[in-house]
Amino acid sequence: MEILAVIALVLVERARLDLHLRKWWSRLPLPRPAWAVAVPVPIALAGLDVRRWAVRLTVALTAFWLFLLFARPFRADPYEGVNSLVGFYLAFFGLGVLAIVAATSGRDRDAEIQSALPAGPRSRVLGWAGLLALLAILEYGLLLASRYGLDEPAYAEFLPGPWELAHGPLMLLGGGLLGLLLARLVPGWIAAPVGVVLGIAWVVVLSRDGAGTPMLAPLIEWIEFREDGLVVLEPGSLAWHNAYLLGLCGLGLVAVLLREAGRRRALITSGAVVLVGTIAAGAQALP
Amino acid sequence: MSVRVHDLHKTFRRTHAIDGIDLDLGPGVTGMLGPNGAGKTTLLRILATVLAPDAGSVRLMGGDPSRPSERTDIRRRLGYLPQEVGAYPGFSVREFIDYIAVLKEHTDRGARRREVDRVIHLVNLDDKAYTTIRTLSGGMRRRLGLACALLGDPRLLVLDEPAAGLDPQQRLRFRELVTADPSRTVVLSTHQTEDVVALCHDVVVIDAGRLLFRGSPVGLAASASGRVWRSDAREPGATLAWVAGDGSTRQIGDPPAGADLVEPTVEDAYLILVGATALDLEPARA
Repeated sequence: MEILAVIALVLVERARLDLHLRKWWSRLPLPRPAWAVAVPVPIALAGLDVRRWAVRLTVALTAFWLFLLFARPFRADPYEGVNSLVGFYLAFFGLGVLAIVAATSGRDRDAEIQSALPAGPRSRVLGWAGLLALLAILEYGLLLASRYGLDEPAYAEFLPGPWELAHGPLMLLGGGLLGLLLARLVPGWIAAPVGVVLGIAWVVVLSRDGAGTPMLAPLIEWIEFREDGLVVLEPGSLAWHNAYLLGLCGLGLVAVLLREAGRRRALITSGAVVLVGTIAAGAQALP
Repeated sequence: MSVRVHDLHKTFRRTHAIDGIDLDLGPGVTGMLGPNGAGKTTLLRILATVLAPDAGSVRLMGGDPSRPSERTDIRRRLGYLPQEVGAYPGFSVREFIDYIAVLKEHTDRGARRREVDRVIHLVNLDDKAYTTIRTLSGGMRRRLGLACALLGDPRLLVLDEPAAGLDPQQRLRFRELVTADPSRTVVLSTHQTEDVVALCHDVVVIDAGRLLFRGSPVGLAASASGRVWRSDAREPGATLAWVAGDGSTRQIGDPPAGADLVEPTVEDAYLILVGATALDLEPARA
């Protein structure tokens, strides 16, 4: 079901449908705040994409999907709602973002007109990364609000805490960065399906029975709340797993920047440090 | 001088796209003529800082584009229209220009909105501002590219076949646009000799990566003086001949004695310069 939803999102995005709000949105006489002075190019690019995406049908569908994932399960089945909050379903949201970013962020690769502009490809990559970080923070805020805004039920002690809730936003950030990297490595439309297949394969291979490495997969179903109580599905450190995911995000960003900016010593050094940290965090996350 | 090029070379595998060109260009419009594959686009890409030469020096507006910091500064004052704009089909006209404006470091939203409105109006795309790019005609896409090039009122404009696909009305509008600011340096390539006559104070003819002519359009036309004539039928000395609208045969080449010489045009001179070989034509034989 979720995979079908991801495919539907990609198809809708490829069809480039929007809500025909462009003119209205662009002409909206927004008051200009006092702080609205010239900002760095990556931030301005992120703002541009936020405004573009805000009127896209894809975003409306995603919002509806999230509503189905969270609001409905909480009303119908609080146990299922808890599982959703932990972030298992949010991984599919990350997969969708991966596919959309992979399908759209490669748009600037062949445009020669951009080769003669002062802001280079690094600014464009940082703009995308900033946008993804913003989305992840927004998602985290919504999750925290949902979690702590709940009426405390009898099983409150089993509700996920801030660490568990960080899983979904980190998946979104990591998925988007992976999509960004793929868009620059794999030419054309094929980047999006390749990204989705890679993402699923990554999880399936590391999470298979007997592998002993589920905590190294980007997605883990670490707890499940059932009527008979909380079931810890995967042993290991949840906090270190989040650190491991954060490290993977950092590696993804370094890889994209290296691809765009050529080999730079500072980037390579940063990448090496992040790599060591990611390996250490992964080792700590294992039971 | 806004553009100084000295002993420029650029090779793609075994092909010498640019083979030792020297050029100094100042304010005003310079037209670049040459057959397909002559090296015009390569030279324009070098002037637009998109491509680095293999050898030789380039100075643009006093800066050296081979140095990253100076290159960025040059790009801030440069407008470039490539042959293929590569605009994203899913964007509207306004969205795409807005996006390019951000990459041109127009990051103040209010000022950027005004600037985007200005260039959209300049290229007469006001009624298409919210139209998706995929639905635009070829001529409209050229105007979109031109709007992007005009963002920020650049001091140096590099335009690769800017008038291709424009209808006569838009072509006149384009001429007005390009010549509006006499202090700006404009370098454009074209296959339309009438554009060169109408627009350019300076013309450069390139073939096989080499400079064949540099001077005014009048000077270019004058270089063909005594080599264009009219008669009733094609004659042996003609390299090229065609029947004109009045029924006579206009010929260029080596006229026979007593030929009815006519005033040469820029096109005549260009054809003589690049020769029949470059035009893939068999020279006329007796």
